Amino acid sequence: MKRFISMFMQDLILANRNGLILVTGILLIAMLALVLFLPKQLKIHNEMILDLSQGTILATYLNNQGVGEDVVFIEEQEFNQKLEKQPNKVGVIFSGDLENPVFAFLINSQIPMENINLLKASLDRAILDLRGESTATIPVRFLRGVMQTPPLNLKIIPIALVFEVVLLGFFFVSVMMFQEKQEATLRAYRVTPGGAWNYILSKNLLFIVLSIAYGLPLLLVGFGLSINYGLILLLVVMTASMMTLISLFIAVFFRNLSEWFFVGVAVLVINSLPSISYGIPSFSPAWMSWIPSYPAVFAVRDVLFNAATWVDVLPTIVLLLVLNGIGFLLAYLAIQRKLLKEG
Amino acid sequence: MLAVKNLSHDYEGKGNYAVRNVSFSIPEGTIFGFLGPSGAGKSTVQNILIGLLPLQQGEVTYTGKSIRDQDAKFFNQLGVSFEHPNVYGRLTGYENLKYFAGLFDVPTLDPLKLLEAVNLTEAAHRKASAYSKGMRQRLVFARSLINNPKMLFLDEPTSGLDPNTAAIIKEIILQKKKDGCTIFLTTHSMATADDLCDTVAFLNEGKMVAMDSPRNLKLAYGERSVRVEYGDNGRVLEQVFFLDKAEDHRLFTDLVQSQRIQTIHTQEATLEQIFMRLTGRGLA
Ligand SMILES: Nc1ncnc2c1ncn2[C@@H]1O[C@H](COP(=O)(O)OP(=O)(O)OP(=O)(O)O)[C@@H](O)[C@H]1O
Ligand SMILES: [Mg+2]
Repeated sequence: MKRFISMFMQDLILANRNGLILVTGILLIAMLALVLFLPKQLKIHNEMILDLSQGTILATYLNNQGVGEDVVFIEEQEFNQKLEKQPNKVGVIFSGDLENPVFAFLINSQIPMENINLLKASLDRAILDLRGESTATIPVRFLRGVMQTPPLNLKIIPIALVFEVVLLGFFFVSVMMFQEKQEATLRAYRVTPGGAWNYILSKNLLFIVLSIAYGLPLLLVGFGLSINYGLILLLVVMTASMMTLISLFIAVFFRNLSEWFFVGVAVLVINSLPSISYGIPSFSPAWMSWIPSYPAVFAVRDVLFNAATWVDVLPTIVLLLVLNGIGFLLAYLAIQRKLLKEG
Repeated sequence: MLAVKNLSHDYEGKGNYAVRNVSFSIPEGTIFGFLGPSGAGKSTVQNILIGLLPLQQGEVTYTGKSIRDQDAKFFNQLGVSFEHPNVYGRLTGYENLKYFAGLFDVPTLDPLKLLEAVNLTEAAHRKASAYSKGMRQRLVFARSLINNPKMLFLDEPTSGLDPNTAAIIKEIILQKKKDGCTIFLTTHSMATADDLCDTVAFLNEGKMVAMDSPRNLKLAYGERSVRVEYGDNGRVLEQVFFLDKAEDHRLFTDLVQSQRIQTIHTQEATLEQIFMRLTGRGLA
């Protein structure tokens, strides 16, 4: 334990002298600024609704719900003019009556079907409400999803937690190993009782601590105390740990940063791809979900925005646990058999 | 005791031996000097002894236990000073020692005291990347002592140091010996070996050519040597003859008869000269 603490302190000092803590701090401040100052929503509403029904029941209902005049129309001409100017919006024309509601969708630009369906679902709900029918038959979670898309300023937090700090960790852990190779301090380490185990865990813990130090302020500012911190930090820590282990494993096979560069960056880029799916949910090809950061980022999202519980994200936790196990094994074998045996 | 038997090492596995059939043993509390020109295989042997290179052929035992059977605890008794000073450039001298102290399971020495012993007190809190080569070398030497090792391996600990600093290091090495430490010392410097070693071994092109105490070597090879200055086509040449060697004896008498001799001194041969006689080459 004394040995481990000594190594950890040393790695901490080295990380600091290499500018890692400074860079992380700057990144954190930038992200905090985004969380604080980014508007909650870029567009308040993506749809415009024209109510052509008898007595404009839907328009009245929506207005009562607090939906603004720029969304709900009863004049067809005004509706058409406004819609023409804003081709990104979805036009909805309601006709018929409560018993026989008819919705027509006017779509100018590429809008994901998912969004249309969500819109349709929320309109259906409005009709049910108007009829005075129970809404209990509709799954609550689904409605939450429809009604509350996460505010934009908070929506970036899962990206920061799953991708950014991990990127730093991945990069820096390799940099630190290359310095040790170059300075040949690894040779000195090899003639101590240090061993592979301590070497790995010390660096791993460093980046776990870093990911918490980075994630916690973001979460506190963004969500206050209203979220399940144990669960979210567990996900963050496991993601950071997994990538550190992979980074250690890969770096063993290269002599310096320039030899490592293309492979290292390729791994980083692949790992970052799921952030696209996160931003644009309709872009989720099947292979994407095989990248470990994919389930990680969506689990983080569900915990933050959809009140997901331990049980809900258990598959992801198990997956990350298994990946950490594999990552440790790979890193251990590579370091024990190669890094601490050569030259 | 450290015992080495029939040690050979082939880096590339192509029958190109860097070290061939080397055997020696080092009794506890003595200093063993390993001498030889550059490329002779000195560092190769040291690296095998400390487990940095795998043991390919032969046997290395520490008090009877093979190096193959040693575990991590073995390193608690080992101190190693490397040929190329390898320290964390981004850590200070003090931090370098403190970190390594933390790696051992045995009681360690005070880093500041060690730094003081090698004259690095003033530089203790400067980053090692700002050290001169000699300073880094002293830092590595100090680091090798941090765990109070029973076995000390020193690869060129005084090369490139000024005579004063080298003297300080030598003093520490002798002190360690007094404390019962067993020391394996690699060097080019015959003078250093002469000052410090109980036994010296000459290594040339991977093979041992002689091994004995400096005194015995000198008795064997140096007792009856003469240094002769003689004229040769207007130039003055100098040569040492070991009169017990038939070949030298013949050459010397030839020279006497030629009447070209200008001066003759009887002398005790230096280790350097003995090495030259044995291998036909210098140590540089
Ligand atoms: N990693 C290596 N791979 C292949 N050959 C090596 C390696 N290290 C050393 N050698 C070769 O082994 C031989 C002995 O080298 P070694 O470093 O042991 O010599 P040395 O006696 O320590 O020399 P010096 O006094 O210059 O330090 C040399 O011929 C060298 O080229
Ligand atoms: Mg050498």
